[in-house]
Amino acid sequence: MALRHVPRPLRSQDIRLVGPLARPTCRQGHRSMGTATATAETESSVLPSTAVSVGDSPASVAFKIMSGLILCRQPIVTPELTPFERAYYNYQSELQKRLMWTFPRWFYYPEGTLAERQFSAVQPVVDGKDRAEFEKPDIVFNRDRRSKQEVVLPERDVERETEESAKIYAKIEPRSRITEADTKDDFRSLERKLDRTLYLLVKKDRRENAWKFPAAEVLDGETLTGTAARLLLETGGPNMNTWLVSNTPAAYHRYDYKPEDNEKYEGAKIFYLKSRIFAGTFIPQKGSGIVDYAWLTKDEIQHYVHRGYWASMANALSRQ
Amino acid sequence: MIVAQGFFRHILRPRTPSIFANSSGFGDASSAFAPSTTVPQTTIDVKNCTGTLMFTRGKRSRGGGETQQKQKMVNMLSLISPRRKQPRRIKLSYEDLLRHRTVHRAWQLVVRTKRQERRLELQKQYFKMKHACDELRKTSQILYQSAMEKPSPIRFPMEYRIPTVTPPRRIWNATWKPPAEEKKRKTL
Repeated sequence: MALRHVPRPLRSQDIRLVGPLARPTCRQGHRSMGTATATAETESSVLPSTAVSVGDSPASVAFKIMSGLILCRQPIVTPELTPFERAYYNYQSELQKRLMWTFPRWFYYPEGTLAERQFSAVQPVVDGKDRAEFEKPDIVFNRDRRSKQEVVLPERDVERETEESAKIYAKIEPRSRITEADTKDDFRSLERKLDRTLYLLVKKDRRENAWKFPAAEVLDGETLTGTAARLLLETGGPNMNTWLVSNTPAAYHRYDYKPEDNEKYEGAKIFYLKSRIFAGTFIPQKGSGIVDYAWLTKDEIQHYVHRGYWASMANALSRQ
Repeated sequence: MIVAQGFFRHILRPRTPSIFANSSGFGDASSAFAPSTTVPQTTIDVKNCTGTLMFTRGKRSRGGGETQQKQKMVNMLSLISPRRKQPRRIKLSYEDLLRHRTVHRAWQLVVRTKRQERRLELQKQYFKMKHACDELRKTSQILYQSAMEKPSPIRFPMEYRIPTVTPPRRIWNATWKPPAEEKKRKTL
């Protein structure tokens, strides 16, 4: 049985394959050098990568180098609490209320003021008789020291209200965490699933393996970053406020072309860069070949994308 | 609060003398303080007050500016003192203690699981990145070098937002447009 993790010994045929490197067929400057090393690497897995990675030996171009984009919208809202978390936080807040110091009413509602009179009128009666215990009630400053205190704030005195005091009483109505886009299941909206990260997926005009992260070929003299910026403009338009997290690729995917599809290249190597969108909309541009697009969470992407691609990309994405 | 130590004991005593030495039971913070040996310079010397003048919290003094100021200070300082504001110490029965401990341990477990999951996810992301960089190095040296350039220090954009419990009024700015480029200045 052949041991798969140990490279097989070097044979004379393998050395012969290195031959084309000696005679350069330089077509496009530095980039062909890069792809040539890839050729050598794929044809003979025996050669150590260090020998190949020198990158100064040009040969026929075999792999198309592409720069891809993992564009994501960060969560706008905190993660959903599980029932246990909710119960625990409730327990902790009740403990804190029990241990809280008595409300210093003499400071906030000074004796002799009208406010104090209104405040006192509204407070619940504390006589300690609601607790069935053998100790006598321990009430200090209108608070039973054995339990939490309930402070009732008096209602607005509308007659005496000024503009400034009205501002204090202005009600804060929190917005809902579930938006319209959630109820309608609008996959093109960026307001959907506010507690999750949304990733941009584009659909190309293809029968199978249509849904992918956007990608474009790295042209002559371009860097990965430059290609990504160009890609963003060409596919989605200029109306997006994005930020590239790093020049370093976050994911790598390689796929081989069928021999009848493409004569020039054997396959493609895509290096994905991570980017974040802070404002704007993705509008598919004409001539980009994009038929449809969607902003999806990680688990949703799994159902849109084919298995090999998912295996490549899954670990680069965030679950939350 | 060195100023307050000797100050509290003298000032914040109730008007009627109490038979019990410690009426508040647990947590009489004024007695917990060690007696100060040094005399701070900004103490208010109450002994010099004439007559039966005594300062109690929450009162309004009818006297002149100085006594009014002192009264105000007493009111403010009484907020910081736990005197007569601290509730009873929680004493759990054995069963209650068990319940509390179980809840605490369950929470610790949940937190640990979350931490481990996050660590694993970050690890996967890192190795994915490393694999991508290794492949890039094999593929193209020049692209690799440009990919390895890192801004120092790393700058985050102004629009970077931390998630809140509830969303803002305008959840997403869909009509964002890039700012118009400034005209180039003419060189003299």
